[in-house]
Amino acid sequence: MFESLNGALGPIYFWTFAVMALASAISLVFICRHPLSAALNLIGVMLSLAGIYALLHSPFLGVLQVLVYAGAIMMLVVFVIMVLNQAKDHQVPRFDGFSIIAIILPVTIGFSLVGFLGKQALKAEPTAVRAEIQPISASLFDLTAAGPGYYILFELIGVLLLVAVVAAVLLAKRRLDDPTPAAEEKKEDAHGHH
Amino acid sequence: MAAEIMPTASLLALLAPVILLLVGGLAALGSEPFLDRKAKHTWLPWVVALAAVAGLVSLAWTPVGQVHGLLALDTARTWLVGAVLASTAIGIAGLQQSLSRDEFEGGEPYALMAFAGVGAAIMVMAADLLALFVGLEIASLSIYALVGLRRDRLDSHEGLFKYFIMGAVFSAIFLYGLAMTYGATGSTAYGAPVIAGREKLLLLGHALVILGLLFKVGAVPFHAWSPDAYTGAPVAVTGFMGSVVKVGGFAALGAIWLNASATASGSHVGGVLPLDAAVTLTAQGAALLKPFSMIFLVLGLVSVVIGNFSALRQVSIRRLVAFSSVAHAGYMLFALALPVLADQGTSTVQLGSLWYYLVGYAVATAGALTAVAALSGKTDDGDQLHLLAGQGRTQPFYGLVLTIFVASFAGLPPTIGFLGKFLIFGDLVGKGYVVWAIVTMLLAIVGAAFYLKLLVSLWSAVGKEAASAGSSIMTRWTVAAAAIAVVVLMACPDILTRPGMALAGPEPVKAAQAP
Repeated sequence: MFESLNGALGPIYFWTFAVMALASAISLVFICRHPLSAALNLIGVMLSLAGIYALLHSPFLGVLQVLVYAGAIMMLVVFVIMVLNQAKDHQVPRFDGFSIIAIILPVTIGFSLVGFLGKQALKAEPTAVRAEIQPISASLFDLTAAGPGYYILFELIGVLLLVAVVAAVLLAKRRLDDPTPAAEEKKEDAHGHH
Repeated sequence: MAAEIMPTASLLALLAPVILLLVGGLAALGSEPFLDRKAKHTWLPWVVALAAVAGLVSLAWTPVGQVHGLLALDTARTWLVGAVLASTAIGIAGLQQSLSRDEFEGGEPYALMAFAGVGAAIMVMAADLLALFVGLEIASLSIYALVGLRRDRLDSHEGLFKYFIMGAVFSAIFLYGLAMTYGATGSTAYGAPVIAGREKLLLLGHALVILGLLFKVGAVPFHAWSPDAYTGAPVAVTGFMGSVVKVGGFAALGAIWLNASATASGSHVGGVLPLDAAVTLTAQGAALLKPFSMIFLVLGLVSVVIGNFSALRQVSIRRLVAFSSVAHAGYMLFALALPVLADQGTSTVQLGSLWYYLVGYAVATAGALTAVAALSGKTDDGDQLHLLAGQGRTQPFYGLVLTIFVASFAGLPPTIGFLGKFLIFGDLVGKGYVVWAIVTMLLAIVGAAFYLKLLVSLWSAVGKEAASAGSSIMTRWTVAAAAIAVVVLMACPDILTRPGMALAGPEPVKAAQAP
């Protein structure tokens, strides 16, 4: 599927994505004044990473990265920024006292990771197909007694999503006693909203 | 290709307790829209509570075993799942008390409490980090919503916000540790053997996983959320979350710890290690685990100090229970760390005293707060100490059961809390940590002081009329059952020792594969 990527084109794609990812990351942290443009840069980072995943023969992971991270999660982030935007965001100083923690923590984790991984190189076969859809679905729904049994977790994640929906409705619904959304709108109007 | 399909019967048999509770929650959720407000608080709690009790009863017939190496049941896990189900039934009774009093406009909280119980039971049964994480998230998400139930109250928002944000961060830390553990072992099962050359990655992964779990059980220094979350929640939810989250979190900590002992000693033969197994620790394994258990011991002592001294000044029972739960987390950390510490050579790791303490703590906490919910009158603010004054005389039944639960917290003789603390102190002395034992005992006396303050206030002759608008049958029955359990489990702890589980006696069983 990705044979040509192992050849001459591979490094070109890799460096393109790598430079894109780093440039977006640097711009995200040091250049962007407005949270919204920072969020757009974050999307840039995630899309570049998706490309790198695909280069590593994990197309499924790349697609998930686009769908879930660049798509769903970032849409939520942008949405929250737009809802909370008080038009003063760009006047907030870039670095304050809290930044010290925000700098120390990632730097510590980064150094310890480099320290651990640098000493003990994780050998990986670069051309092996890893996150392809077929092996994933095969192991996710493997019903054999000797299988990994992930289908049980799949069912439990269904429960998890149900819980999330119920919890969100319970906490966010404006009036619990009023079942119809239309009635809510009417009340809003009656209060002279807009 | 004709691989054998997992037999449905054995799958259902093992998961029956969880499935029953899950079905109860789903039935409550599904029928909720069709009931009017009063009927919701009459019928839905019964559906969920009966499902929990059915699950509890089904445990008697549930086989010991495991499915796919993901979920397992053994004697200790059976008892812990039982504690979760019992706490759920007790918590539901208290929730009905609070919500029907407030005329809350929805029945979803009952379903959420059932799901939280399912999540905690999965955490207990988990033999794999992935299953543990899914259970953890099911329990956490339900409990976040339950903490924020009183939407018109600022302290409820504050508790929910703090708990949710910090919980999300620590879930991420846990997940990061899980990913590293997977990278280091190539498997997400507890105690999987490390791939040569990746020992440090495994160490870092385990450290992060344990960090995430220490937050969930509210041990110092990750206890900052608990007073606010406990106070923001309705009284009954406070008791429920205090018990099931601790059971789930400590069961997971203990399971990971036990598996790590076995793997470090080279006696882990793969498969699922029963939680009641006695692992023989080799010198090599002891050397690897000793620094960790010293950290646990120090964290435990600090938790006991901070918990007990902070609790002294509280006037709200919920805040008092929050700090006392920090102190109890400290005692349980002792029970976790001690078996690994030996004065010479090899020792046997057997976490019986931790499981015993945990079962007793869970039942007593859920029972105590449900009793307070029944006593606390028109609003949840009735849980202030001075408002409870004299309530023991006006409602002697709840006064009596609350006294039993509080005696169990304090570690007084006729209750399970006494034997739990006794085992831990005995272990401290037995391992040569006499000074620690004396200091901890003195701290336990400090703890007993504020429990006594509560009891004195409860039974004082102030001569007031009953603050409560009456309590439901369910509340009376579940609380009474919990009080009886607290006493009976102290009188005959042997019930907890179905084959294999020894309380304190070292009875080395080879870390064998569960059938």
